[in-house]
Amino acid sequence: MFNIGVLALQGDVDAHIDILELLGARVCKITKLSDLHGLDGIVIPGGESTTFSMLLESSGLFEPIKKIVSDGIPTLGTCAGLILLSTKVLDGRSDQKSFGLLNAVVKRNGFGRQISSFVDKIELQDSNNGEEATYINEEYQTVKVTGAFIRAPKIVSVGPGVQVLGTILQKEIVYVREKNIFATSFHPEITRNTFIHEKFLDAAKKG
Amino acid sequence: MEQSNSDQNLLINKSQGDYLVKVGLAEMLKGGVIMDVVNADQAKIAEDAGAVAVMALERVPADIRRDGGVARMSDPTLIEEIMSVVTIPVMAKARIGHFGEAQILEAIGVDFIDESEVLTPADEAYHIDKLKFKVPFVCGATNLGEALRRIQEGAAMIRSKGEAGTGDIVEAVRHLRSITTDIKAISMAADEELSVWAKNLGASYDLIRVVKESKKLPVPLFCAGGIATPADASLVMQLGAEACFVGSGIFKSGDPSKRARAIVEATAHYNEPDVVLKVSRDLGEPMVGISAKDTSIKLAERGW
Repeated sequence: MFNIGVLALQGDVDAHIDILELLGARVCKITKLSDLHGLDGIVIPGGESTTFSMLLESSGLFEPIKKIVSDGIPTLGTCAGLILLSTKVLDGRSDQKSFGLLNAVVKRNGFGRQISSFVDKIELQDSNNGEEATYINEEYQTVKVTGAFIRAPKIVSVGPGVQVLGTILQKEIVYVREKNIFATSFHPEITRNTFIHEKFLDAAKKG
Repeated sequence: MEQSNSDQNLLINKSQGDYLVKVGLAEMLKGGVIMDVVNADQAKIAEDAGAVAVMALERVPADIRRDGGVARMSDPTLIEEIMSVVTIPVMAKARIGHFGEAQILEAIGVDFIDESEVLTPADEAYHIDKLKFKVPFVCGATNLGEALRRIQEGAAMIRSKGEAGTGDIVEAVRHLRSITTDIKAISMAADEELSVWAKNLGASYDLIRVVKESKKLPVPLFCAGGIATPADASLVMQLGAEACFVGSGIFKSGDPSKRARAIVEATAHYNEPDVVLKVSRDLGEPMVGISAKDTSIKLAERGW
């Protein structure tokens, strides 16, 4: 049994918990320091990154989470989670803090407001790390992931060490990995696809 | 098993996708506080205090109640001004049944439309056909039947009506308890009881079945109408609300910025009394409020 903590200060915590439990993980919600003990992986859900930033600070969770993520705990961030993990945030608030552990530049609401939100198939790229390479084509059968882009951030660029695992429209980067950190600009938990969480849990099981 | 489940979900058509991103935005707002603001300055204060969204309107419910007259959709210029100063989602209100106002709000590009009993209803028989819109809607409800009728019409989020503009939490508590009590009863009901539930609640049999299987509403359930203190927020979250709308409670109080932040903290940490205690100290004057019993106009009775 492995323990996954979902940051639960705000956001779509329940949707992540549903999928993680479906995949056999034991899940706890992180709202205070004592919740950080004994975790094998951390999920930072979708929500409002400005609210996360404030509540992480006031709860004293900011530095401890930053430390365990930088120490190598498998971590999955979706949407706001991606923003929080990235090194540079465009269009953020001046006092908005991010962990800065994923070498990427992201633009908040880069895909526009709610009226522009959409669901799309993700084009998976060869991950080059021993996993089965999966390429998308127009046939549904080979699609492994669809994601919901909800006021989604755009990954403007990624630095060295970051693998691009998924794109849409053949060019927009939407799914990346750097060492222990997985991040998506979309919500696999809203379309209830298990693929992304499976990859993250595989990493968590390996320790 | 997961794989087949997953494969099924890959076949998402356009209208299913549109619905997923509507309910999806409501999911993103869970655990947060949505604050009523009447100008750009208040919107900034709300965002600084950690609001997950703001509701842009010309008058907060307490003032609408005081002023009387017909309350309509706000001036688009005001809504656009507020949208331009904050990065969080912006909601706005349309009158019950007034799809003309809703079309304007969609054209402005607001992130959520509240078909709200706080405004004067435009239609005494019908609510807006919300499935026709790309923008998600939130609707108020006082009981489970009303909530399911709104969901049937396409609402992506339900909030308790409470009694807006009073600062009295009693009506919101009544509405939340009514909804959650019936959900519990339905989730334990035998299959043959479901059609009677559907008849008695005036709701579709299919949605009643969804409630039985999932043991919750098909969309997020938020609380609105009467929240004025961090303790109010903690109370309604423990009663099953998944986020809070705060209307007059913040900007009708002595220190809006501090109170706003305190309610955000209390909503996030609703199960941790030590945190709620800490943020409840020295908040200054709360909104004065009026007992919901003493109000001559009951906004919660609007909507059908």
